[in-house]
Amino acid sequence: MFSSLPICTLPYDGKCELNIVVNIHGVEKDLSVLIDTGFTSGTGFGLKLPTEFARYAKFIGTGYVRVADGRQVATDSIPDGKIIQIEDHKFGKDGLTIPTLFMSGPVAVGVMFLQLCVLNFDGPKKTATIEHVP
Amino acid sequence: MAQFGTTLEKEGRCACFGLYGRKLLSSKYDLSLRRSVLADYEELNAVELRAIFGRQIVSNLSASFRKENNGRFIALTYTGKVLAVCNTLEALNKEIAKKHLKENYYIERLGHSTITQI
Repeated sequence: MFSSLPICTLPYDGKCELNIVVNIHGVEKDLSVLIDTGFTSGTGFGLKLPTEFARYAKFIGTGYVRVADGRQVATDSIPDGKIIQIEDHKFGKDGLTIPTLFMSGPVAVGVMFLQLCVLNFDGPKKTATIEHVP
Repeated sequence: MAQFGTTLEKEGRCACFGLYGRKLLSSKYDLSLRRSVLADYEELNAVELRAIFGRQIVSNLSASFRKENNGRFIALTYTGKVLAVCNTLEALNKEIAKKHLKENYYIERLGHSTITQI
């Protein structure tokens, strides 16, 4: 289990990004990720990290995924990437386990994570808020 | 385990699969043949190589197994060991996460060319 996330206010100017700390089989990395509501939970994954981060994994799975332009792309993944911190809030020792892809392109967190949160976008005020609901 | 190169290592084992390359390939191929096989793929990166070999391993599964599990997601190691077969990719990832693996694996949705669309 992980502790609840208080409301974080984020800038939202056409896109919304979160600062997170991920744990890839024991290696922690800070990065900024795009909140991507088009990265649905039906994809089976909830986090997309740069390809070079795959080197930190103790084991990896490989498979073909279809990308938006119709190409099949061989892609590495791990079933147990962990989000351990968002903005200033730590999720505790174990963090939140999210199946993770290693792909080129935008680094993104998807709906598999957002399903655990209340997320509000306020276009006119150019802010977004995110709150974890345990 | 996740560090790979696309060239053969000095002792002649396949760099794509680390410790498991010898076990996978040595039973059928000698070193020179392995070199020629991999030379065809020298333009590809390690991820693509693993995917190609994984797809070949799946194609070697029995036709009855593939028919019975058509549409399901399968994860198997490069030594051919089936790790899990599940109806969804989410379930497959959960199964694999429980196993505390020490080796790489390949994922395929039987009867489909890709596992998901991003």
